[in-house]
Amino acid sequence: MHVYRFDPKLDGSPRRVTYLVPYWPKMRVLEALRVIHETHEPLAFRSCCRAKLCGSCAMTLNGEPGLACEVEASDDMVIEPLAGFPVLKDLIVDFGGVQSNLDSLQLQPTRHRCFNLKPKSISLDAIEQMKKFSCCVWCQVCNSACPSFRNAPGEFAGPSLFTQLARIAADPRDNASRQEQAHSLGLFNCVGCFRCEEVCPYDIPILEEAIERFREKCFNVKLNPRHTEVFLRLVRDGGLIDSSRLFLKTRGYPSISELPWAFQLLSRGKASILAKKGIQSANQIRRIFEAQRMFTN
Amino acid sequence: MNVAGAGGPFLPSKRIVETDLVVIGAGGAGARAAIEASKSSSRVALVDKGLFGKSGCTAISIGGISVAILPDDSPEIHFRDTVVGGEFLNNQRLVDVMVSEGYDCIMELEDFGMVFARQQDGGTLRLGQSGGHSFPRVLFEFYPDRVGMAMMRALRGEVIRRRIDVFEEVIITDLLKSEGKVVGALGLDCKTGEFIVFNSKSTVLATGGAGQLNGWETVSAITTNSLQNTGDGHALALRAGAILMDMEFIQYMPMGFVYPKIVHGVGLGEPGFESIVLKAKLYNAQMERFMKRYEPERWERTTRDKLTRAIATEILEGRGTEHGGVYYDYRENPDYPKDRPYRYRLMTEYASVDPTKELIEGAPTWHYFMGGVRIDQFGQTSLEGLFACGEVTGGIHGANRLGGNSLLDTQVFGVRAGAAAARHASKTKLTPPKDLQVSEHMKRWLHLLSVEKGIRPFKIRRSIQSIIISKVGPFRNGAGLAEACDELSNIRLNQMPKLKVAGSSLAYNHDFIEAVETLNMLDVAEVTVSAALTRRESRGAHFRLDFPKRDDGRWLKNLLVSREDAGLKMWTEDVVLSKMQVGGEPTE
Amino acid sequence: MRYAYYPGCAAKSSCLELDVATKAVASELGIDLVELSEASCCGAREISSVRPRLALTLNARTFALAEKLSPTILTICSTCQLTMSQANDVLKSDRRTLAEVNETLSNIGLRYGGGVEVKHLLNVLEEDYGFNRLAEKIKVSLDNLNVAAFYGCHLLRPARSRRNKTAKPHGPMETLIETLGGRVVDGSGGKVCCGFPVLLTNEQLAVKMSGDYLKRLKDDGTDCIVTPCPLCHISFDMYQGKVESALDVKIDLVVLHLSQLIGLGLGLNARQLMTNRNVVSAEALLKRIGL
Repeated sequence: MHVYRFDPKLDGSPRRVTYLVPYWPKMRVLEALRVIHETHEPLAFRSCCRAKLCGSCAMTLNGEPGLACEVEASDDMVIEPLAGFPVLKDLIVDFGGVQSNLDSLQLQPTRHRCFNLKPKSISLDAIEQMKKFSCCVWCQVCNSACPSFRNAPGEFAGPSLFTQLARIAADPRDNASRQEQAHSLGLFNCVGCFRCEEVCPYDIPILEEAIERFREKCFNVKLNPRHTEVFLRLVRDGGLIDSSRLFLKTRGYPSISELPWAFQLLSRGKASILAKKGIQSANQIRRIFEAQRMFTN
Repeated sequence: MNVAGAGGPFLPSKRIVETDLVVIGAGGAGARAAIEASKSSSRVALVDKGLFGKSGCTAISIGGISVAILPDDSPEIHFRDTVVGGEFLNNQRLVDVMVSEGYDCIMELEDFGMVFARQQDGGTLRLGQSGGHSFPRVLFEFYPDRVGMAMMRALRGEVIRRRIDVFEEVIITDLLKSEGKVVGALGLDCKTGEFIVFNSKSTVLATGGAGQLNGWETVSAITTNSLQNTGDGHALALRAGAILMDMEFIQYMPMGFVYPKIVHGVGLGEPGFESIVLKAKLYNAQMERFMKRYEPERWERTTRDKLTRAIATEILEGRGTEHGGVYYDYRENPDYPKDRPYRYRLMTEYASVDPTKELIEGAPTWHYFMGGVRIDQFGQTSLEGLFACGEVTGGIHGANRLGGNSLLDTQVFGVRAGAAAARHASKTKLTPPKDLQVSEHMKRWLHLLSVEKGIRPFKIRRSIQSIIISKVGPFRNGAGLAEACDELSNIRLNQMPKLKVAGSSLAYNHDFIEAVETLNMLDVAEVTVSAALTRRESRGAHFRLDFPKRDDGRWLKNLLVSREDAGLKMWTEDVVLSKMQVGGEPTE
Repeated sequence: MRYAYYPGCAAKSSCLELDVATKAVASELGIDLVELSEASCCGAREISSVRPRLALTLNARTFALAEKLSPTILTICSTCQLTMSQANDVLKSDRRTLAEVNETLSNIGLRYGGGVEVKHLLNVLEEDYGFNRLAEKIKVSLDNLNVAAFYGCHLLRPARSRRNKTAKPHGPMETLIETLGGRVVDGSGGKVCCGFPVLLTNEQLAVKMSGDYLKRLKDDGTDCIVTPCPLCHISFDMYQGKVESALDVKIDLVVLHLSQLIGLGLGLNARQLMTNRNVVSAEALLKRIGL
């Protein structure tokens, strides 16, 4: 197995060390790390429950983020610290950034804080909704796989934050505007790629149930980017969306520096200034929008 | 390796944190103690060996919190069940406090964010029932198998809201004393490799149990406990001279995974709870419902100690399954994946068993330390300035703990210890520890880095663990325990002096953490074995093949222990039956 | 083999070449496409996230129109495929929702009976037509061109809605490329997102996402990317100039639509496949395979 080693106090740069580890069927990575730690040299890694309950042992294994106690070890496996976070030592990373984001959200029900000894009535629907996110242990595997978080962590707080937010938002004892918090965390920078759902060790429907439901709530209070509304209106008016019109109405005309690029597109026929005709029965689309009480003006 | 001189590549450095309270351990008890103390504006330093909310047993606990809630139920009945379950060794004063204050204390968790499972009407709480309880009492959030995580999420939220200082990944190595009082603790900040001196007016121990003593299988001992549970608090208290009690009583969770190795010991659900709530059954390899023989009236609906011994007997007498366990039968429960989603996935993904269609093997696994630091009803230990709460304490649960009472204990005594520690801090001047004492400790630890040709901690730990698993099991006997005593002595004299820590810095040095833990484990193991050897009767979780009967005449006493310069001092004290006599009912 | 053909918005505007190439390829293969010219936009995740019921209704209308023509809709966009499949799953499994949606549709004289299936061209070729049969029609070999297969997130995820049972790392696109005589390079496309959904709201982020991937492919000697999704095509092809400015590096990586690649293999020419519309010129590539 090839393990990433880095001790900031000693090494100038990270190195990858290859270890030979005796194998047994269905061996998990955590077991292999333990063997390396004992028979070769001390290795720094986190673990607590070894049974997929605490999420401490998140790492990047053969390029994919996962839990070391869950993922099976394989020949020639490359074991690296969880991608997307600063490395503290060997396989231990710094979660300080996301942790403080998480803590700043005040994830507790905001109702008036004198506690009433009688438990407040909570509907079973609300409980079913909360259940969807209750398995999230903020292990950060989803954040590691998320292209928006990885490329712009300052603009998109990452799927794990939205999942935790969704858990408290579903609690009927909470009055805070969680969609506003979601919006401030960069909600609309999600690209809808489903990587978070793909890698979540607990199969939480992060994108569809947390992120997109927040989008719906944001839209209800007009916290959406202009693009969403433009998109909807174009569909209502023409049935189909013309890419150029979508561009112009969302972004306006190209800037001076973009002109060469825009001309290139125009010359290939990829963009056009002329409006395209929509479908003939666009009135049917309009009727559907009306039935949904959308844009009745 | 030159560690002491200036100009060497490694210079010991320390940081000093002055505070009103330092809480050692940030699990259910520690977090709650910190919260309670902060209510009176005390400055609190909450210290966790790992990541807050992902370290220790509370975060991974299954089952729930027991509170008397039903109209026909009462704290009195809960009291009776607890003392009967503890075979009358409990400190009745403490039990009284726990059951009386339980409801208020636990309901406050809902304020922090927990949502206890409810019935269809949305307002009535849904309760599970654990073995030994006369009524359903067990509260959990959504799923019993994730209750601990939910609790830690709620407690964490409140700790953050109150802006309590949390020190993560700091391992406490020693308690610091001055003029006979505990004035704080010395710890190592794993992030930087720097020592931290916590100088506090009150110190609260909330370090949990010592499950990692029980044998070893690839990544963990055979226990339901997390990797952090190495008896640190027990050892810290012992070394500081505090009194511990009931150290011979260790509870097994009767059914834990037996394979694959990585999950060996992880809890499968208490048979008492599961049989009542999910109609689960236990079978031996011959498909006999063997509990009928051991408990003709209650079968599986009995306490953990009886179940453990029954299952262990079946295995020892050759009626065990292929991997050395007995069978759990959940096949009557097609809804199992919905009710226990976490454990269902563990079963299918790790053990390749679908419990709705097949039987799953399980065997007893170390679970809970009934014994620990002796406290009064305010969480005050025998040392001034030192308080304790949670599993690290002893006396509440007697010889055997009932399900759900542990999480209850962490909250009730977390509150009490936190409040008492805060009160103490408000009346106390901050006394600094002696510099010499601190540097002596630091030198001793740093020395481990420079031992040539030593023994790495995991090797010594393995020796301790194999002694414990073979000689301190559900069935003990004098000869085995005496041997264990000798073997541990041998480790103390011959192996420990050669303890070495590999690596050259203390930052995130797993060897160092394991060295601290191994020393603590040895301390705890010695006391446990001595106590087990001393108690010549069987009661609750402590069963002696050479003294198989309960002997109230001679042994209705607690065994107390403290460490002095000459060695371990052990003595007994009669149990004070303040509220309930043996065979009687609780009085007012 | 008759399908209700759903080109989607992109193939009718910026990516007209995709519509043309698809029809040419279908004709060559003997697949009958009946275009759903009155179908609306599927809504992508844009509408389904903020107004789920509206998205359901728009797609139910499309299904109602298709139902009269064929039991199967053929799409040529990964996102259309996912959006419509998910909508269809809901409508087919939740009777009450279907009834409510049909009530709205009744206002415009339409009704969806639940009898339609949605398949991407890739699914159709793999399952209905068969790659072996396709192999027999190949006239031009791709001459070991290094081709990267980029499915597009929505053709691969989420697993629970995934109509396309793509087995990683070697799935239908890889098989197709090899059948056509190309060499498959780089399997990481399945983990990368082209960034299209934020192209207009956060161009910098989108360009960074696609840029890192494009640069890596180029450095590894890839000759062209093939994608079954016009949205990914827009991101990689139309915006490649932006990527080059942002990274200050020349990429010049040809991006072909799936239909264009197949068309090349079937011997169709540049005009039939409208490769002149591809922003990054495919001329050199076409010359290499002898066109």
